[in-house]
This record gives sequence, C-alpha cells and structure tokens, in this order.
Amino acid sequence: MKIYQMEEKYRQFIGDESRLTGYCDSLSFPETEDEAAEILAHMAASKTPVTLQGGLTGVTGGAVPQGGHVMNLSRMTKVLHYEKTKDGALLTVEPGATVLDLKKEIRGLAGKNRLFWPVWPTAETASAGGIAANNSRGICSYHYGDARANIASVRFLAADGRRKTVSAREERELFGQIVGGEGAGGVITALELTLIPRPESLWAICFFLKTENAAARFVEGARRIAQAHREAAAFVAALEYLDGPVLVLIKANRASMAKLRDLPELPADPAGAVYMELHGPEDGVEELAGELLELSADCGCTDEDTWALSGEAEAERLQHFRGAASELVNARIDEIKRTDPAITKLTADMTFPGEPFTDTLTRYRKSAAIVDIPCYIYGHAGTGSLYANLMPENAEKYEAGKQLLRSWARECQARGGTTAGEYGVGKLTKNLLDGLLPEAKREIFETLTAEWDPAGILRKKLTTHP
Amino acid sequence: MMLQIAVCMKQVPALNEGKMDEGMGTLIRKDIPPVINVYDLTALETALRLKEEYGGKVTVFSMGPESAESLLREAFAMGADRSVLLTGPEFAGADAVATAYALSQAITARGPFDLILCGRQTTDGDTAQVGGAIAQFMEIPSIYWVSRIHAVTPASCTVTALTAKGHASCRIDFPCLLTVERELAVPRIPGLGAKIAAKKRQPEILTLQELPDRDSSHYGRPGSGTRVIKIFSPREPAPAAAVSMKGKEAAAYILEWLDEQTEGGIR
Ligand SMILES: Cc1cc2nc3c(=O)[nH]c(=O)nc-3n(C[C@H](O)[C@H](O)[C@H](O)COP(=O)(O)OP(=O)(O)OC[C@H]3O[C@@H](n4cnc5c(N)ncnc54)[C@H](O)[C@@H]3O)c2cc1C
Repeated sequence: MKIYQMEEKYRQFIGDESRLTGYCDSLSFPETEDEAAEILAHMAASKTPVTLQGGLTGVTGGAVPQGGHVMNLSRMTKVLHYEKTKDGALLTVEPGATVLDLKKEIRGLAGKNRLFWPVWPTAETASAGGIAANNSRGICSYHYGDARANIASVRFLAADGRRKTVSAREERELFGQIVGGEGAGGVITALELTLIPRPESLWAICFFLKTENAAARFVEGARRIAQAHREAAAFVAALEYLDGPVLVLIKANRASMAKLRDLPELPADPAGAVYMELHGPEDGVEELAGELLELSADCGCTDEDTWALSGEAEAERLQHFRGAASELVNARIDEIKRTDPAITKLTADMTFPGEPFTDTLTRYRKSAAIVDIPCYIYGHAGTGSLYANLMPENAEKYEAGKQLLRSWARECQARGGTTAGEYGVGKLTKNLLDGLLPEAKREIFETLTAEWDPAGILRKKLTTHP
Repeated sequence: MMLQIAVCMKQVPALNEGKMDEGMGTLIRKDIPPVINVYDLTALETALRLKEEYGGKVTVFSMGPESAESLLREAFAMGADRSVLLTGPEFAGADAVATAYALSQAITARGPFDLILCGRQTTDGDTAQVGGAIAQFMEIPSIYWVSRIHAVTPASCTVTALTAKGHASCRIDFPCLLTVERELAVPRIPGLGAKIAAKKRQPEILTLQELPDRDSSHYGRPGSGTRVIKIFSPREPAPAAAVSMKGKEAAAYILEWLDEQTEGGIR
C-alpha cells in the first residue's frame, strides 16, 4: 500500500475543471482493486475523509478534496474482459481508462464488428469511472441515453470493504444509485460497457441561423421531426445548440485551437447554430436530411448556412466544433479568474420539463441581460438540457450572477425540473445552489452512505451546512 | 480565363482508427473505414478557389475500387464539375509509380488540362512520389509542397513552395503539376443541399480500354517494381565537406570517391 504525503509536485490533484482548488494531506494511486481496498480500510480506521478522482475533468468540483486523502484511480486502466453478445459486445474495463484510450481499444477489439459505445463526453481525458460516477452523457444522448443506459454492470468496492458486482438489470435501484452517485458509498473499480452496432451511415450537420428567434424555431421544428422518426431505422442521434456568444468564441479561436484548425470560416454573424447527427441506413438518413433542409430554408438558412459531412471520420471535424464550446467557455472563465480569483463558474445545468425551447432560451437570455452579465449557452437542445454559463466580470456582478442562478433554480424546481443534471452537484454547485438541489440526489447520497460507508469517509452532502 | 484544372484524390484508411505493423512500418488496413486523404481535400479546395477567382472547370480523378465513388460524390458536393473514377482489376496492387502512370493516362484521356493539383502525399503510403511521377510521365513541369499561389495568368502561375531549408517563390508555365501543403487552404464543408444533390450524381467510369496505353502489364501489380520490406524515415546524411577542383583533377577525385563508396565496384 503506497500512500504519499501531499507536496507541491502533486498540486495538479487538488483541482479540476471547475477551477476550484482544495487541499489534502495525502494521496494514493492504486493499481488494483485489492490495493484500493487496503487504502480505504486504512482511511476508514482513522475516519479520514477520502476524495475519489478519475480524469479530473469534472466541472463541479466533485474530485476536489477538502482535506483528508485523495485516491486517484488513473492508474487502474486495464481492459479486463471482452465478450460478444447477440447484438453487440460487453467490454469490462477498469475505471481509470480514459475516453481516448477506450475509443482506440474499442476500435481495435470491435472494429470488425463495427461496434461503439455511444456515451463519450466531449472531454477526452475523462475516465470511465468518472463517467459512471457522474452518469455522464455524450452529444448523442438524445437517442442513446446516458451512462446508466449503456452500462451493463459495475463492480463496487464499498467504503466498508465489501465488494460487489451490481448488474443494471438485476439490481436496478442500487445500480441507479452508484451510477450517478458521484463516488458516494464506494469506489467503482470496474465497469461493463454495453457496445452496440455502429450505424450503417452517419451524417453530421450544422445549421447556422441568422437570429436567435429563427434558431429557436429551427430547434422546435427539428425536435418534431426527430420525434416523428424516433422509432424509425434512420433517426436523429444528436440535436445540440450553440448560441451566438459561443460562436463568437469559436470564431476567435479557430486559428489557434488545434481541434478547430480543420474548420473553414463560419458563415457571417450567425446568432445560433444547431449541430445534428443522423444515424441509420443511408437512404433513410438522406430522407431525414431532406426534411431538415426544408425546415432550415423555412427558418431563413441558405445552403451556405449549412455544413454537412458523412462518415465517422469526416464527422469528427464537426464533432470537434460542437466539443469546442465547453473548452472555450472554460477558458473564458480562466481569463476572468485572472482578474479576480474569487470568481467561479456560474453554470445552470437545469432541465425545465416540457418547456418549449424558445422559452428556456428566452429566460436565460433576458434575465442575464437585465443584470448585464454575458451569458454563453450551449447543450442538448433535443432534451432541453442546456448549459447557461454566466460570465461575471467583477465581484459585484458575480454576486448578482449567483442570485440569478438561484432564481433560475427556484423556477426550475417550481416546474418540477432538475436543478443539477449531467455535471453532478460536486462542490461548486452544492455551494451555489444550497437548498435548491434535487431531493432524489440527497436520497442517493444518504442511502449509499448509510448502507456502505458507516465511517462516512466518502460522505457526500447536498448542503454546505453541517 | 477558363482554367482547366485536374485534381487527383484518393480514399485512404482513417489514420486514427488504424494500428501499425511495427515490423513493416505499414498500416494494417483491415476493417478500417475509408476517408478522403486530407492533403487531397486541400488540393480540391485550391482548385475550387482558383475556379471561383479566375473561371474554369474542375475535374477530379481517383483510381480505386467502385466504393471510391463516395469520394467523388463528396467532391461534387464541394463543387467539382466533373469526376472520373479509374477502376478495374488491372489497376489493383499498384505502387507509387504504377499509380502515377495510370493517373497520367487517365488525365491524358480526359485532358487537356492547364493545371494538375495533387495533395503533398497520402496518409496511407506516405511516399509523396505520385505527384512528381505523374508530371514526369506527362512530361510537364512540377513543383512540390506549394504553400501559396500568388498570381495566375492564362499561361502560368506564381507560387511559393516549401524547400528543405525554407521557402522558394517561382513562376511555372502551364501545363504543370503542383502538389499542395495543407496550409494552402482549409477545405470547405459542403452545404446540406449540395450534399443531397451530389448523392444523385454519377462519376464517369474510366477503364483500361479507354486509356491511350492499353497494355495491362504497365499497370497494377505487374507494372509495380516496388516490394515493401520496411517503411522508415531516412536519416539526414551528414553534411559533406565541399571541395573545389577543375577538369581531370575533379574527374579523378569523383571516380576515386565513387570507388570508395562502392568498395572498388566502379573500376
Ligand atoms: C471540455 C469538457 C467537456 C465536457 N463534456 C461533457 C459532456 O459532453 N458530457 C458530460 O456529461 N460531461 C462533460 N464534461 C464533464 C466531465 O467530463 C464529466 O463529468 C466526466 O464524466 C468526469 O470524468 P472524470 O474522470 O474526469 O471525473 P473526475 O472529475 O475525476 O471526477 C468526477 C466525479 O466522479 C467521482 N469519481 C471519479 N472516479 C470514480 C470512481 N472510479 N468511482 C467512484 N467515483 C468516482 C469523483 O469523486 C467526482 O465526484 C465535460 C468537461 C469538460 C472540461
């Protein structure tokens, strides 16, 4: 059992993509489940709080320690098992394997059978364990769902030392708590990913709209088309939105960001863009694309306002375009932090059930304008799960931004929505939305702790109050 | 001005999907989906921009199996006027020289062209020899690694090209061949309408029977002298000392030097 005392060279392990920085006394990098178990037992004996870490790409600070011990799982990267099934395959991996490693591995193992895992978040250094713990989603979650829907089982090393393989089918409730439990109760030491057949054909399309109104109309229309084709052989896999301010960031960084260098100039001054992926047999995909083309013309797009590529490798160019949004918004926060380090990310990761897209967009846009704080909006337009990122430029605006975020959360709760979605509550959202977070999450945290973590070393709370 | 531009394009295995055969230094192509060679996309983009600026027609050539039609449809979607697929069992297994010969024949069959554009290399073979060899077979001048095209007249163009040590600017008369660097132009992405319309267009199919040289032994495997043992980047030779001599003295020096290199094989 190797435990290292905290020193300067481990600084990178006390912060994540939330840009929060914490502190810890010691760290470990277990390479096996046995080693992780030994370390947990040691920490439980002394009631030392433990923070679990994967790839540290989390944006809510879930992996940021606040004292105690850091257990970083990035050295548990083995592929444990690969097994073909009737309609795909199951791939069992350790939690530290990253998106980048696993994508390669899956192509190698399942290339001939043309299989894939549809959950990958756009952060390529995120780990399998982190994805499961956060119940993350990829850009194609509109069709394929979240991590929970695409993992067959997880291996769970509880804080009290018990070990258990939890199947999605047989122990639904517990599985649903662990996947999405943000590391409460125990460590995910292996995951069985459900690989499914790749679509015969894949088209990636971007529509650039001239006004935000037209963009919202396009999204509403695209949702209707997607709904109508939901059960068809060719379907909409991704329906994502990027607003004008995000497009300005992309434009400004096109030449300097490696990922964006393969993109041509964006059409002049779009007020919003919609990224879509269509999967299925070629003929069906083409027909679906035809319907979207008509819709885009009705919303004022000419052919110059659209980009269309087909094939997995080619589509990557446009996936990078969509993926750049999160990175650039984070980079913008970094710039602001340089002038005032106390400012943190203020992101609404909320879903207002059944609400028209136009209304969600208008709420964010108008109220941010009233307090005069720039707001960058992007995310899953298909399901209405948008991220609205407020960028307050000074302490005063930061306070106003926090209040605005809380007012959105109150409205979201009043409508029966979810105030913390795929990014999890971590530490940042917990602080910002204290008292306004989903009850279901509190229940998950409390149940996992009560059942599996009597010493409370992995305890997660939904409030900053003791 | 009506420039007639030919662009050579190829489908290659998607690099990021492939694994390398460590012994041979070659890509294991099995089960890897094809993509358009990225350098060729720059060649097509360059041709389209020249057409838009100076007028003319762009014809895309590809040698490959029928599945390469999808590449040519993508070229239509981007704005190519014509596309020609050189296909048939006779062309299978071609090395760089046999590929260049076949393409030179196809271009001649559908020509004449003022300008032939190729990507600097393909990402599967990486030999960067096909462009130059096409020019050689067609007996036209060529410039490699073009990073800018400055001016075009009905008779010539002025370009900047990378050299081993920097850049060189030169004027080259038509007909000529240029191989282009990716920095020359970011390839456009077709609009959705153009993409759907391109799906309905058929590339022209060209077979051995329609080429000026119909001798199948000049193409494909029979026409290829290369046998790949291993692919590696050559080491840069150590700089040699310069000597200055004249006439017989120089000839004797060269002969002796060659003799040393070939261990007496020259004499
Ligand atoms: C540029 C960028 C793009 C992103 N795109 C997306 C996206 O498209 N979709 C999306 O959902 N999210 C996205 N995210 C957020 C983030 O990538 C995901 O939340 C990701 O799943 C976190 O994985 P990680 O390995 O980095 O986890 P970490 O940040 O290391 O940890 C996150 C949480 O998981 C817990 N945890 C980690 N490993 C384990 C384990 N083995 N067992 C138990 N608990 C564990 C930690 O304690 C922590 O609470 C993005 C982030 C960035 C910076």
